[in-house]
Amino acid sequence: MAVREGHEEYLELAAIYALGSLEGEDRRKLESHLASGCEICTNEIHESQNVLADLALGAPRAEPPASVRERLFEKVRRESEARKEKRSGDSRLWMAIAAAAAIAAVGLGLYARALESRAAAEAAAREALERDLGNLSATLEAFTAPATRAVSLAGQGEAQGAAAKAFLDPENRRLFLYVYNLPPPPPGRTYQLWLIVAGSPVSMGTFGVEPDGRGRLDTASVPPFEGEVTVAVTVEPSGGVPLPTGPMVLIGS
Amino acid sequence: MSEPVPVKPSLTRDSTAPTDGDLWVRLRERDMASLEALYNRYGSYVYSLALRTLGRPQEAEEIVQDVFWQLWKTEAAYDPARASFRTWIFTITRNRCLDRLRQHRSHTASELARGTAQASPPPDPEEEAILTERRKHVVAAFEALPEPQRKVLEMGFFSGLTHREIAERLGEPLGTVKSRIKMGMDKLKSSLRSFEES
Repeated sequence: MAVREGHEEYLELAAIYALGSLEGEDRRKLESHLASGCEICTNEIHESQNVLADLALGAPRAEPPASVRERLFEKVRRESEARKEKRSGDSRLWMAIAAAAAIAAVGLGLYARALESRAAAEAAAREALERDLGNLSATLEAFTAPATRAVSLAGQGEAQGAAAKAFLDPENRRLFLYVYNLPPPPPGRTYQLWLIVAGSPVSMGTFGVEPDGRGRLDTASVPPFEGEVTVAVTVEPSGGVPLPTGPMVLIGS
Repeated sequence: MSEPVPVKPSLTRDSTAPTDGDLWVRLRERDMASLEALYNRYGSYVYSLALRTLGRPQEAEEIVQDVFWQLWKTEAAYDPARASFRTWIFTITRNRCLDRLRQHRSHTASELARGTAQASPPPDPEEEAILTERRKHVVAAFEALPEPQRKVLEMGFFSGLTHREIAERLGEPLGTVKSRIKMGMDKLKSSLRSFEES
């Protein structure tokens, strides 16, 4: 056969290879040839292996003892049952894992929400602290600034026993007011702080007092001013008014 | 134990009878009945080949257990496109036998098809009839080979000897042994091909 020309030696080796009897240099030589992708020799090996397998039929017929079959299928049965049990066990295990995971998920969800809530509270507290610290720092800075002025306010009229301290920081346009012993304003009324520069009052905002008579106001809207300044507190309608209209309860210069 | 897959006794394959390929597919789905059907078909051939090759009944029994257990575990990869199931299972069996042979070469080969063991009644009549028919032809083709060619094939196939060992044992040149193997193989191929075509 023309197509097999040049392969005679390899085909001979292929037959021995299929028999499982090829060794040494001959084997290496054929395997190297097969590695080159020779289909002719590869087919030769497959065909030879098919023929050789049939030689098994030529072996003298003998039946294996019944015990071989029994042992084999007993082993197969055990393995099969073990596999089913394992699958069932796996299934139960997975169900348990899934249930545990669901519970854990709910728990984790609640825990996460609690953590979130706690974290939010902590964040808010931290922000408040930072804010307070910032305020304190700003207050301290304002109090210690060279241009800061301290004004003592004295109680007037029905608020004779009241007193207050105001700190004005013109550089930062800040004003801090601390009030003591001031009674709560009448219903529908509020206390309003005024800065009076050159005879003109400027509202610095409204504030309330605690039951113990303490009150506080912090503002950064102090207008530029030079010279003498007066700080006063009046009783005004809730929400405040553009110009003072009510009785003065505190004043200082 | 589940019932063996039923087959009808006939020399031609019944279209309803499961083929080896069908059984293999079911076996891969852990169908024990398919394993039993394959055992019914090939158990005695596997045992016969192992006994013929190894010469020790106990070892042959172990080979049968190993081969069918390997099938059950589907650890062996069978590709229907490359070989028939028969070829495949006999190849597995032979390889297992040769592994053992190489571990201890103590067996003296007897001649092909002249064993003394008696076959049990075939449990798988249709396949058994087909295999019996094929076996008759294989034995006839093998015995029709010139003695020198038959001898080298027998020494290689059943005794697992290498071509150098065969040459040494026979006291023949290596080239002569090689060409005898090749010629014997070609004649067997030709003979079995004509059987398949008939």
